[in-house]
Amino acid sequence: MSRRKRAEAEEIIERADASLLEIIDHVLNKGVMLQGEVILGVAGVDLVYLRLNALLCAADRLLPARGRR
Amino acid sequence: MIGLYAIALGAPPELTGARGEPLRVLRCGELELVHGEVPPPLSAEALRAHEAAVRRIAEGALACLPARFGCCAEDEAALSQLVESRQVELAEALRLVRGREQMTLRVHGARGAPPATGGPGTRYLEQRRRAMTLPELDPLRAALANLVRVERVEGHADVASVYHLIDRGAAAAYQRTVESIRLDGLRIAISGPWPAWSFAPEMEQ
Amino acid sequence: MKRDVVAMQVRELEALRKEIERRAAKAPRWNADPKDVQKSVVRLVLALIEFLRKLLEKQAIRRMEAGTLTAAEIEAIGVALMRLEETVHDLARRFGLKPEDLNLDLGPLGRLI
Repeated sequence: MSRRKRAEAEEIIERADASLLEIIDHVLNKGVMLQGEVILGVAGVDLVYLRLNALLCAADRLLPARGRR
Repeated sequence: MIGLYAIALGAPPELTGARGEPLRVLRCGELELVHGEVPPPLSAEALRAHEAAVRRIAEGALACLPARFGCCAEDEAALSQLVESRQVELAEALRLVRGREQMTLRVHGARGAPPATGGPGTRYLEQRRRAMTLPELDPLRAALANLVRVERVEGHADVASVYHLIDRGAAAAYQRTVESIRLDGLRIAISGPWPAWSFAPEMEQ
Repeated sequence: MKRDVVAMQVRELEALRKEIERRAAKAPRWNADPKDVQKSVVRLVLALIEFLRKLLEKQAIRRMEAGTLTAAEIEAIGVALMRLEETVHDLARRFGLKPEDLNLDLGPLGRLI
């Protein structure tokens, strides 16, 4: 995958909020081919999950502890 | 070049794609290949537009297998070839998702206690098994037994994803049930309902 | 049931074959630095082994859950898989490859493995 495309993909993920991350995870797949070029490789998907994880953690710290599951 | 949006049954007429273009349906046996223009370059807007277009198809169709962003073919002939050898598999998948939609759970904290018993090989396999199946969620599964038709699990880094197929219209009941269950040490985020993204065979080229 | 397993294995092999073809098309050819060629060959070989290892692991787990393996068999397979994983990752490190370099893009399989 070209470095530029991976950088583009990573930038989207870095700036994404939870709802966009959800869309990314559902709508994209590892190694999506677009006209012969891989858009997101494995590392891209891992980034989605790291980011989701961070959002889940952050939500935990920000929200008051009510009867949490 | 054309872009595939979904493989459907009973797709509604006059749909529009991500660029507002009219969508066409190519019939292959009972399969309806819903397609339009190739997607624009990767961007948040392009992803949202693709998702919205697929959602419109899913909401009107009897059954819908979403195609991932960026699934393209040279022309209708090439598109037809893509599915020809897989008609049985795709027809089965359509039956699976017919009248259903997907709920997604992101589960954080499910590292699970490492298995205590057995030799190193046994503990290794048992740990892998737990990562694949997330037995910690069993109380939740029991509560959802009447709602969930099919389940798929994926583990990644610290977040595990659980994809559930439910009958259309059951999302509110599903959400209430998930929110009512407490699971120690686990944080769960729900999203949905979605078209059945995680139950569609990949249309690779 | 057996039919499903065979059909699945056929699909997995087909996905693997397509991925190999794709990589072969992109592999360095003429005037390539021999070290580059060696590294990409090693990468492909290790990725193939890793793919097979994960497949065997999945099958072992399924049989474990179905109760068709004895305790001794579970232990033996578990140890063998564990050691194979270590060996593959050691070799990869030696050639400057990261774990994600060994992940073949397998289309539908990518989501299962």
